[in-house]
Amino acid sequence: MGLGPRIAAMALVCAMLDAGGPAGWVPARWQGGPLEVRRRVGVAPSEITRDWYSPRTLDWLENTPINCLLVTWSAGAEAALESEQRKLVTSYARAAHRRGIAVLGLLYPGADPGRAAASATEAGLDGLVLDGDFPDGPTVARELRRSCPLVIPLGARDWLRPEADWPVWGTQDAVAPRIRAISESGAVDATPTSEPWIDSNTWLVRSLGAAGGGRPVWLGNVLENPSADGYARAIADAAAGGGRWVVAPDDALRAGLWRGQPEALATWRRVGAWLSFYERHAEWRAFAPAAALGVIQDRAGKNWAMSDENLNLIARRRIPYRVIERRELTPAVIEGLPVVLAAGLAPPTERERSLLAAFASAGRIVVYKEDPPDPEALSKDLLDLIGNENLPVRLFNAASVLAQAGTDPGGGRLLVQLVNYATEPSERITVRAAGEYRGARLYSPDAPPADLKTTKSGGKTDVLLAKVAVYAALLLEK
Amino acid sequence: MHENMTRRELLAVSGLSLAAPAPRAPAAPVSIGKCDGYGDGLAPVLGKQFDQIGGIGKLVGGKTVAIKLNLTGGGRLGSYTPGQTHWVHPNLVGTCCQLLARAGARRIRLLEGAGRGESLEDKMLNAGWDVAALRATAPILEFEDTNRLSGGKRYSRLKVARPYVYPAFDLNHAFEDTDVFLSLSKLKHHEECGITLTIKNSFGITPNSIYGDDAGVDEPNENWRRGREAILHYGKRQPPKSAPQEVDFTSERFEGYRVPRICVDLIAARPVDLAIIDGIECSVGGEGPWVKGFQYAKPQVLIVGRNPVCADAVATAVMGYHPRAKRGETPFHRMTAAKPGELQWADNPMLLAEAVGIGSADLDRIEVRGIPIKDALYDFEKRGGTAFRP
Repeated sequence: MGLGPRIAAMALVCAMLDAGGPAGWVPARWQGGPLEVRRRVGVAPSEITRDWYSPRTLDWLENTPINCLLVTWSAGAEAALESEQRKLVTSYARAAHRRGIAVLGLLYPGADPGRAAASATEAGLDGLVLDGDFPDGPTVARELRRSCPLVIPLGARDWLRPEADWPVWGTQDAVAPRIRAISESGAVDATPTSEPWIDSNTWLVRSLGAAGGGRPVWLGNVLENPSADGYARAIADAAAGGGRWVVAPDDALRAGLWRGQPEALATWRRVGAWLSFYERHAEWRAFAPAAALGVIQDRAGKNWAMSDENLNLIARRRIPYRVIERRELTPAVIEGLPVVLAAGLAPPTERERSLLAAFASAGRIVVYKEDPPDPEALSKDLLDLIGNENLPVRLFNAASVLAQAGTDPGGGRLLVQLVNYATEPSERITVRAAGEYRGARLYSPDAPPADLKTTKSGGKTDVLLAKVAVYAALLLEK
Repeated sequence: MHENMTRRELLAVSGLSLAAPAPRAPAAPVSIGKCDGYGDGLAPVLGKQFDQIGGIGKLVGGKTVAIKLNLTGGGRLGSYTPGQTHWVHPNLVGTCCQLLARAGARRIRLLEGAGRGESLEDKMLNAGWDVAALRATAPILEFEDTNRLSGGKRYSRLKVARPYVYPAFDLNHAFEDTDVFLSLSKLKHHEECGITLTIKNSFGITPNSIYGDDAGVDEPNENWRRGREAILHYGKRQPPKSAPQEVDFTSERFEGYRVPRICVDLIAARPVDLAIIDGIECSVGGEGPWVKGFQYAKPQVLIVGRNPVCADAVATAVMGYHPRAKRGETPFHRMTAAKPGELQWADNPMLLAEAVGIGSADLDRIEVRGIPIKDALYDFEKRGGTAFRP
């Protein structure tokens, strides 16, 4: 590396520090400029996309915690267009930096990694993000890092391996959070004993959080025609697992903001309010999962996709779990858990085998199978094995709701975060927590906190929530 | 007609029975009430209906009353609560308990099968019921999960005098340890049997520990996981050896044949003293939202009677059907696609019950009190009904 690039790289690191660094970044997709118009031919209105990098779009970030913009940087278009885009973004990035906002350049398939990295450094961008279906994303990302120290791959889930040291663990392999299947009659797909299928990413955020060793987790998926609640749900679904959804205003919202339409402005204010809520309660990210099950995963192993499906279904069955990355497996990590799922170890090492044997000999249960078990059957069996009555947190009348429970470092407070995936509010939900709690307070981004009545019986505490539209957090205190 | 049918069954399902119902089957008055919802207007309507059938004071005063609820299956239709479609409504249960307590019932037990790892109260909470408010409706109100032993030490063996399929059943103790048995069911269709009323409600009194697919070969399985298809619906296996076995292992295995008969055997084993059918809000097109074509309905009717067969006959007429319709005639047929080669019909359980003397399904012999049938009529067939849905 020559002196010039080194100085530029140092400037880049300084810019990162100014913006607080990836852990403090609240990201938003902020695509625009002539290159974006070319990239998305046919997406109207193109003039708004073309003119997006005018200072007025930065004004919309005031009163929101968004402090990191993902901007269109390179897509391998003809030189003149790429150059025009770079000039525009360079100027916009300076304006953003003056407001304390970090700017990351988006690289699309077709871009020349070496040239894009050099020009990003020269332009003072805070880093680069790989966005889309690169044939070999990790290799491209590593190439980029030669001249650009901060690179975030935002691609397929299989790009994320435990050995990767990306500053942010991000993926586009996420779903639009919702109830998926509604039959023609309006009935949720159900059987006499089953419940509707919920698409959620919270399990994925928790899995990536464990695999990434606590690095920030970003979900980079884009929603199709989202409602105001749809934005809120995507933010909440990621935040409940301790991650962040990269806010992605769709074309309709962008056009509405551009034109000053009241409905769009209201939606955007709500997005800002929801993001602010989770930043105000950032301490909740440090709460340890209240779990009845430890799930050992191995993102380096051959069965990681099956492990993901196991986690997805375990979460859907509302079994409170803790994700344990294989390299972190120690006696202390599984201490206190009644059941450990070791399906991710195929096969276990001698150290793992003896550790788990000791766990089982203490009267607890290890579930292991040489061949990956069927995730649907496995999740059912695990719930049977643990028993509903032994769950640290249980929900009643909450078919469209999933919950994440965690305890504070002192152990005196239990946080239950509920996300409702249905478009209709969920009413009369009973939250039952193991243990006796004297107080319960309800938090929501849309309302001031409220104290709720607790009912204690048989060593458990019940709290009735009248209504959960999209999200509610219940904080119980001993 | 199936070659294995007895003469009594033949009479029960043939056209002959239309003209000549069994004379020995008793008939009792049935009250129809109109009620527009589950609010404050419910108690006066139900109270009046109790009076119309002769009052309940003598029946329940100083006694234990067990109420079999219909809380079948899970799932929901859109934003409707289960009580608005396929379960009895919690406010009706509460109102009923209040009126029973006011009439002097000493103890009330709510009975229904709960799922694995849950109590009956948990099941109710899971549907959004206010269990605490329900508890407050009577001085002594108990909840019993009848899918297993629960509060009992042993199963009660209840015998069937003139059985179709089973000579007796092993049931949760609460079905024996009661002075009065009340069936609180829902006005709705049934995918395989046509209708779900009082008689079909008794299908749910069988414990899954004995009649579930994973019941033990020799003994009940208190940790059951599966429903009652293999043993009761299809007769693919027998209940555990500890429980009474079928009277004829060679009889028809088709569920349209078996289920109505088993239901009749069950109301013979555990007679229903009082039937209440909740048709204020309910559903057409099946017994739950898992059935294709299931829809919300609001007939705004309550049907109350002392004889379960008479109550079901009147309810069937209110649904717009002939209570003496024969096997395969609407509504007694399967509504959705069967497996290739499978039969489609179902037998009329009211005629089967009538044939063994439980009660009359003949509207000419049943005195309807309160609202006349024609004024309560809610045509289920026109509203989606039982038309075959492939």
